[in-house]
Amino acid sequence: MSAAKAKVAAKEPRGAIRDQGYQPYTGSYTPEGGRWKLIFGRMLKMTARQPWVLVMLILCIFPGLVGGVITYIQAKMYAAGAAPSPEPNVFYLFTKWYGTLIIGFLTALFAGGGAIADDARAGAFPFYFARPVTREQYLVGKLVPPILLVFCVTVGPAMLLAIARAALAKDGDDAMIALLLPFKTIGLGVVEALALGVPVVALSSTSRGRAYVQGAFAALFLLPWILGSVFTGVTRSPWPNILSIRAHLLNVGHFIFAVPLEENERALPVWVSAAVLTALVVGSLVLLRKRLESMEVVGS
Amino acid sequence: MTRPADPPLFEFNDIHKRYGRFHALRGITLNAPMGSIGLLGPNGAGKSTLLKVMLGLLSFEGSAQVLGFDVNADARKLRARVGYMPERDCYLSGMNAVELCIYAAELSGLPHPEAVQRSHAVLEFCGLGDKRYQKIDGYSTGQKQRVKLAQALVHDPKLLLLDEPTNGLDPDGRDEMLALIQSLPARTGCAILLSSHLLHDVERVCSRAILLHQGEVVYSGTIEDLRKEGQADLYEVRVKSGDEQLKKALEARGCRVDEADGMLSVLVPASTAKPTELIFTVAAAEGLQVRHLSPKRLTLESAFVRAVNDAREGGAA
Repeated sequence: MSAAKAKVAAKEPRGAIRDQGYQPYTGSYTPEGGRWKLIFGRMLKMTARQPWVLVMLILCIFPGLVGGVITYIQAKMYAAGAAPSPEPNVFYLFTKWYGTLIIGFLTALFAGGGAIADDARAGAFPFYFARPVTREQYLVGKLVPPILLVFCVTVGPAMLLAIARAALAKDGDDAMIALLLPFKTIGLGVVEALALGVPVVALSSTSRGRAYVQGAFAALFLLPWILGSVFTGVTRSPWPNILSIRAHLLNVGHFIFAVPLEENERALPVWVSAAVLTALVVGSLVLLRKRLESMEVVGS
Repeated sequence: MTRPADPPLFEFNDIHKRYGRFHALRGITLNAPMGSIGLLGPNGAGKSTLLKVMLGLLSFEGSAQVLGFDVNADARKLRARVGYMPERDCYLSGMNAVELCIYAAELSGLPHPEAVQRSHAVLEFCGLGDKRYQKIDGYSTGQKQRVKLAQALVHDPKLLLLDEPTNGLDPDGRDEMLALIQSLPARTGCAILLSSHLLHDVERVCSRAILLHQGEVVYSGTIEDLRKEGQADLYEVRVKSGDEQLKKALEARGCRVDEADGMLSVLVPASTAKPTELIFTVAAAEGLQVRHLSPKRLTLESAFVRAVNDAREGGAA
């Protein structure tokens, strides 16, 4: 209680009812730099309320569990010299359709689809930008939650698997190799979270309709994957995969985890994949910046 | 003990804003004291651009200070002390009024405990006390307008920018909203800038007005002076019979005469020394009996139309 309020209270008889009415604010203001955390917290809270996001968070456990069982068995067999090293299992968990890739994609779809589109539909831009909130703070607050969630659903199970793999190492040398897995996991997790999280938020800035954004993102992710796979099979060239985010993630994963290509597998040079994924993320950020700059706060 | 004088509400010095070839603000130089001010002008006059300047959302040529803050240098500090109630819906889906106001207060820089306390108080103040835990999506238009006002007020702004605050309200709702807005300066100590097409709203809430036309200030001052300025040479005249005859005779002497409901509205040339004498003389010369002659009290609407027309004619000349 401030000194002035305490003085007023002391003068009043006990139990006196005071109409407080409208009180002027005389307190301090929080630092301006931290406003993105409020937007981030609010966005995360609203995202976590979506049932499909919760479903994804639960679903991501299962590939991890299955991978864990397989890795356990394979590690025991590897120790007995009856099976190859279970080293690539973490990589498979990340990049195969039966792993967490689809779950990561769906998490980005549900968590990021409405990030900015919902605000556009509700006319919320004046609510943010007529206050001491910059567009950069808004952007960070909106971008981080989908990226973080995608990171969680992909890296979480893979990390547990990587740790289990290290724990099941047959000897010291094997353990040293396995100890690198968590770092590799984080590396590919960051790439995947950015490649899935940033474009979906960028698409969200182009529309007022969450469904439109989700449809467009699904098309961006799935169509090049399907068409690329078909044409690569027909032409026996990796170049039809040039627009496939999944193919580039797979390619970068091969590089990070040092897992050789499978028989009949065709991959683009890794620098091409790195360049395409970088272009995708940077292009999305540029689009986001431009869209946010053009959003009206006053009038139409 | 003397109290230091309040800083002016705003001071604009030769503000220009161009969007490509379009010159939205043309050398606006203005200052206004604290109080309630109406911002008027036809579509495309530059009202929205001026509001953006006041919120520090636009780069522009010239210099501007609002509430003592330099708009270019201290835009964020300024926005922490300004409340903006936009014309269109402005709420976040899935939230109730308390959540929205807490979030608004925190974004404006209030710590969480104060934000919570003020949100409840301001919703009570805006007449939403018993509805504050309902989802805003289910509110009526009037309730949504009140929430918009509450989110603009929650951080105790020193200046409240209201953009068409009675938009979409029925007559009763509009009346209630205007009464609420009217009570704000006395109860909260904030200044108000009301941008509206509804001149009645401005007339009821504001003591001063700024008229914009094609990016220029046509008038800035009190509403009373605006009316007086327009009505100085304007008279209402009724004769027993022969309205048309008197109209022609007065027009021949350089007056502008309009007729409505048996009453002539006569605009006497500004150079006329004794306007009433002129009217009586002309009527007597025509053999007409004057039954009523009084200075005409302009409504804000007619004063506004006249000021804009004068500006158009000035621009055309």
